[in-house]
Amino acid sequence: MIVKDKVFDVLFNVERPGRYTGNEINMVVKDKDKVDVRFAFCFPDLYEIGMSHLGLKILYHMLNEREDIYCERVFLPWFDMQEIMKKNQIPIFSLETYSTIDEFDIIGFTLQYEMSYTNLLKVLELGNIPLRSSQRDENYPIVIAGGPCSFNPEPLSSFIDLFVLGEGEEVTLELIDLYKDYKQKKYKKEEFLIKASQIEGIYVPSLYDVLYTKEGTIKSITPKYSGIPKIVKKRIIKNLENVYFPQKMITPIIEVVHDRVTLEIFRGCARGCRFCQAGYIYRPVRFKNKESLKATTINLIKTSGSNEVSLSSLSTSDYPDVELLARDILREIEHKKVNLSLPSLRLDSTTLELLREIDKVRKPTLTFAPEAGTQRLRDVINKNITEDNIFSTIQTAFEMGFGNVKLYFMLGLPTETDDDILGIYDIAKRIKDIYTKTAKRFRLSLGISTSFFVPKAHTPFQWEGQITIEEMQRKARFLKEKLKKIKGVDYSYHDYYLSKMEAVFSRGDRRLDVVLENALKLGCQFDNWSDYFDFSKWEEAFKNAGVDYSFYSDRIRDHDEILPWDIIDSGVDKEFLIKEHKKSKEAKTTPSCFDKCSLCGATTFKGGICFAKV
Amino acid sequence: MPRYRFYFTREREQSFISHLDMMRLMERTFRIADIKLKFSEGFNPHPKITFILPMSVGLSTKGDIFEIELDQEITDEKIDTINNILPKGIRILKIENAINKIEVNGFISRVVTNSEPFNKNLFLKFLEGDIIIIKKDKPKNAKEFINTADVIFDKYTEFLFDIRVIKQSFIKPEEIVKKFIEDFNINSSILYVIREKINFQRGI
Repeated sequence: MIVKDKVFDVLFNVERPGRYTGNEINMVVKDKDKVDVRFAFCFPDLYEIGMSHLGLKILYHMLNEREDIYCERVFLPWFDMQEIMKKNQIPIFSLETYSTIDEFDIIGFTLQYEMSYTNLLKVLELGNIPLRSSQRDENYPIVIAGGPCSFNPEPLSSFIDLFVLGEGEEVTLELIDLYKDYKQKKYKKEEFLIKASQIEGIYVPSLYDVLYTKEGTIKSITPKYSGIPKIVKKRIIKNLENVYFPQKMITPIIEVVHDRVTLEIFRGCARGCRFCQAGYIYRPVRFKNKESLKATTINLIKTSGSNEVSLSSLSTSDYPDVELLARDILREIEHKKVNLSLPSLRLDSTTLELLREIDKVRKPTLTFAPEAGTQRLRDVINKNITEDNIFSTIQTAFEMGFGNVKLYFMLGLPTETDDDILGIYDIAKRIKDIYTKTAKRFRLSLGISTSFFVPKAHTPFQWEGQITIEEMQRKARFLKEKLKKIKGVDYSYHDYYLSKMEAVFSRGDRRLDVVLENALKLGCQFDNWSDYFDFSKWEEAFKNAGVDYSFYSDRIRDHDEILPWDIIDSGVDKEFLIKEHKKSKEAKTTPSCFDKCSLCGATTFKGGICFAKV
Repeated sequence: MPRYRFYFTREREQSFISHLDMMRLMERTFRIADIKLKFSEGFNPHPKITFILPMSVGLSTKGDIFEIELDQEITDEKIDTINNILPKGIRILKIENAINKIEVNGFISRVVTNSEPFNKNLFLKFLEGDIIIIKKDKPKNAKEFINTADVIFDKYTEFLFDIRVIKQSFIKPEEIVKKFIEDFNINSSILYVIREKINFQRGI
């Protein structure tokens, strides 16, 4: 029986079967036997998560523009489906043609969060594909990965044949063209990989030897052969005006997490918050042109029928004249009963006015991310927001009738003391007081949410240690007790164990491969879903591998230690990160790229705002 | 504002979506087709679409109906436009002006399962007794909703039901089959459900 029939025979008995049927609006249909390269785009999570992701949609449509390529989608089935698939011997399949993943030439994973690594392995396992790159010869598909987590690719380096670093639009096509060449002749996998490593932005982990010191730190990372790059530099699209963006977007039929058309308005972030990986790895800031954004919005609404458009970026307010852009777009879509959403908007009186216009009736939740409770600590992390900003905006918001406020903080930031945590309480208290004094027309809903600081590769805090689980518990409990004193505040915090595992894998090295294999065997998957995350299994996975996880998460590293991701060049110099790290200790801030160039090194890309100012 | 009645089919390929998904799909399709929908007033405007019978997950249909209020007049000529937008597996057959109301009396459904053949008398015996099914926390006797029922052993084991709709309320035939295979401990799972025909009356 063909895979599709087998799948359809079980769908009546699984949860949300629409995840597995494809056939959405604007799905690309091709004859799989008439293309040169078959590409399986795998999002290692549930359909509803993957289909909310803009990057998937861009690459999907971009690859499918080419007649010689057919890009199909693969998602990880939910537990109930996996069980039924196992029983009925159904391998994991693509949604376009119900092909099994071993039928593809290239399997491409996107790495959006560390806790999806076991999902990635699960996809391979459900596809009957050997996990380790070394166990797959030329008869298997080439397994590649990209996305933010590939900026420290090492924990996955035994499983992935090659990583694509940075923005994938150009480099993926270069790689596919190379593959096409090799596919025609009989090739050896390593020959192909060596050739691929010559493409800028491609990292082939199997071509490097890593040696370790007695203490367990890295002694050296060296290419196995001459001609293999000593350092792999990420790729960017210099000019976003010419970059591909779909004018028709695949639109799910079942409800997904972000059920809307998303428009990318710029890439990069100029703010330089010292904990934020995205703020460094996506540099430099490059804007898209307003007119083309407007035209794209109109096209996308016409072709997808969606009832919501979202303008996406790391910091929406940094788009020049964002109010003008938003109002122009609103004018085009309003009469079609299409809503506009503006995530990552920095709130002040102008943006509040805008929000009120956009959402005349719903009164959205206002979110602020001060990240730290005192000005000192905000200076340490270079978070450019003052309490006066927050309080005056909130005062205006209450006067306007907004009553839902949510604040995001981090616990366990470098140099944090209990006074800083008390600062969070003070902010909440002050907001409550402002509410009591001003408005009585609505009920206040004040949410405080904390996550635990996770040191990330390529940031000034990449040498920092994460606090222990006990300390996380203590800090969260301390804040919880304090916040209890303010009536009506709703406090929630991120899972400690999950934060710990994130810290391990975000700065892990090659020796974690065994841990991941163990975790998979023990049944770890969908770890990002706290209901399914089981720390005891992870502890066992580390124990069985003889690996102490605190070596990766808690240990403070020296500036001269060789870091697992030193092989990757994000464009931001290590010297700059060291300088920033030192400044953080003195609570000295660094201006945003809009105000002044701090010479981070990203000018080497010769694009973006680094030059606009000159 | 004009209210239209759309007759449509839904094949197995597109049958695994929920009632709400179906509504959203129609809203999107009309927006792409540039047909102006009438929206409800109030906090969260939504289009005024009514399916005359709910479209449950896993249900295919050879002819169901939804009614929708538009902000413009349309004719049959729009069928092609709409069908070109709809994903494979859902087709509009006919559009008519919904001047009079229609009232659903019942429908004919086929529940296809992979059961091994069993003694047909088991099923007949089951139909004779009370068939208590919990619906929205309340027990209901499915018996009063079954006009006729039969089982056919072919390539698959198919249960045929003629279901009565009483004051817009009914029991899903798949619930009855589930109860049967449970009660008699029959190794079986449902593959799909097809609504063959809706019986309705045109009012004045």
